[in-house]
Amino acid sequence: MTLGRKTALYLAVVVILLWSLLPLVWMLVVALLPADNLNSRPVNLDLSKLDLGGFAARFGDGSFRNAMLHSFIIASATTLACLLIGSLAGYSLARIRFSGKSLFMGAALATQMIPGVILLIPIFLVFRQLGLTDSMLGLVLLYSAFLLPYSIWLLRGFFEEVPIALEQAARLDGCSRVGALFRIIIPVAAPGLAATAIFLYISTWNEFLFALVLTLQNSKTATVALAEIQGQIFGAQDYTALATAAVLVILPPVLIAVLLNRYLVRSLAESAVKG
Amino acid sequence: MSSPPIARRLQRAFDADTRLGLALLAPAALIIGFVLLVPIATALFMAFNSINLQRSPNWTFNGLNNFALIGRDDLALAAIPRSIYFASLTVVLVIVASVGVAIVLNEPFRGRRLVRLLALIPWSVAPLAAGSTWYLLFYYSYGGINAVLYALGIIPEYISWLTDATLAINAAVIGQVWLSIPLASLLILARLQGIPGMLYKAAMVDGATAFQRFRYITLPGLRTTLLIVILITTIISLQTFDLIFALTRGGPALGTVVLNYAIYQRAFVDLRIGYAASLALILFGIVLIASLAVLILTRQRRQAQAYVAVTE
Repeated sequence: MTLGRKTALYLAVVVILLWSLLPLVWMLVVALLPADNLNSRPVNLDLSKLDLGGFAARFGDGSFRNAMLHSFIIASATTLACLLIGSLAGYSLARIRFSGKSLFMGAALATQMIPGVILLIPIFLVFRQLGLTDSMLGLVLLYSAFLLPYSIWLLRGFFEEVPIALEQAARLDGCSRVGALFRIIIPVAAPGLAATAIFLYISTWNEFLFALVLTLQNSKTATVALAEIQGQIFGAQDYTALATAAVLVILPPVLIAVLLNRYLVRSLAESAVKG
Repeated sequence: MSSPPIARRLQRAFDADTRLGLALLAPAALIIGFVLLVPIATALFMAFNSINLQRSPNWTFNGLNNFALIGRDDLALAAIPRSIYFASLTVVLVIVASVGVAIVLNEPFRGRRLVRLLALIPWSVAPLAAGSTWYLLFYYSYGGINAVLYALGIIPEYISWLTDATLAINAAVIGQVWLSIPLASLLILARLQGIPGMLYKAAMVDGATAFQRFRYITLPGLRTTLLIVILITTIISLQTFDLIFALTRGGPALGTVVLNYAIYQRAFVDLRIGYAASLALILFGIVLIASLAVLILTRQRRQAQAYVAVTE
């Protein structure tokens, strides 16, 4: 590689990194710097006196803490439900011969083309009637339904990759089909399940519109709490509160994506390549 | 005595495998049926009804009246072209930037693994939180963009990016592009890695320039992937809501209300449920037409449907 080409390459890499990360870094700066520094023109980026008071205030805010807890519960429950129900369905589609499979998969995937808001309007009415608004159970049910088609499609692909001889050996040893699923196939396909779980957890944690319409105090999620703080900004002008809340809402998915990157990229790239 | 053919066929249809297969599929089918398919079908009916929430929901069939009302709803009439503008600009910027990012991240350099990982981070950020992130960048007094441009002497005065509707909707596009590039470039990169290096070597032996190699090897190799990325980005950006909710709340003066935002406003703020359902059908129609256009271009329907499933 020539020197000029190498310089251009590294320059491009720096631009990509700045573009990807600078917005988040600036948010951290607003969260940590005293207001006076940010108000001065030109801006005073003296990083020697960072102020953790904003984060302390966030952690002291019971409503925000509860919202983070709700999101944690809802995302965990949705992930588990989709993995379990999705594994059963995925195994059925991958390994059992019967008719109607493509009809099921076609109908399930077709629902993914339909804008979520179409679904939300009747759900809003039904939940009002049934008293299901502002319940974590209601949201878990909704999110599971929304994410199941994708989970099944992914899991079916991962199960198909497991050598059929493994399953046959287990069945010769007297294992039932469902037993083989839980004892052989799921353990062998564990990296695929991990990838699916990461995707499910992040999608659920990040969802906003359904949570905004369907939750109040008892099941308010982290994104809804962040939107409330964002809404107060015009009156309170409390940018530290906004930045610290946003950092805390962003942190869990980013940590998961970074720490479990290996599995994530596998699921995103491979599922797309396999088609 | 042998059983009659019909009975035998029925028996075969409900053999052990079929029973087990259906039983394992049943929980998923029930949830998808009751929580997705039934509400979707209900929404179709709602679009042709006026629904009064004052008493217990009171439906009155009113034919196409809801759709006629759209013609007198300035919020919706402005939101439709705005959504199309928003999605078109987003798609163009995402495609151009993502091809560039993927090509760079496909080159060998020190720390490539780490850079690929860091470049994926915006994908995991909640669209709502991305709205807050870009709010803190574009906002007048605390905005990072004003702070940097002013400190560098590029602008003499702070610019109020979010109080001008034209600037604000384009600010939202930038936020959406930031959110969309990681997945798009990841998919393109995965495809790039599948293009045999031999092709490039052969082309170089034949004296092809860098541009010719891009034009005649890279682009044709990426064709399907690019159309799929276009499809994904179009569907998602036509339905933007969270980002704009955080960034502008539809303002200034409702100048950044996109179609999904208008539906939210009419349904859950104004409680005009039936009317909102008809608007939602319009959104679905736009998404469908845009998707079909891309699908016809790819002529690879099965594959593309699968990709749609990946992204939602």
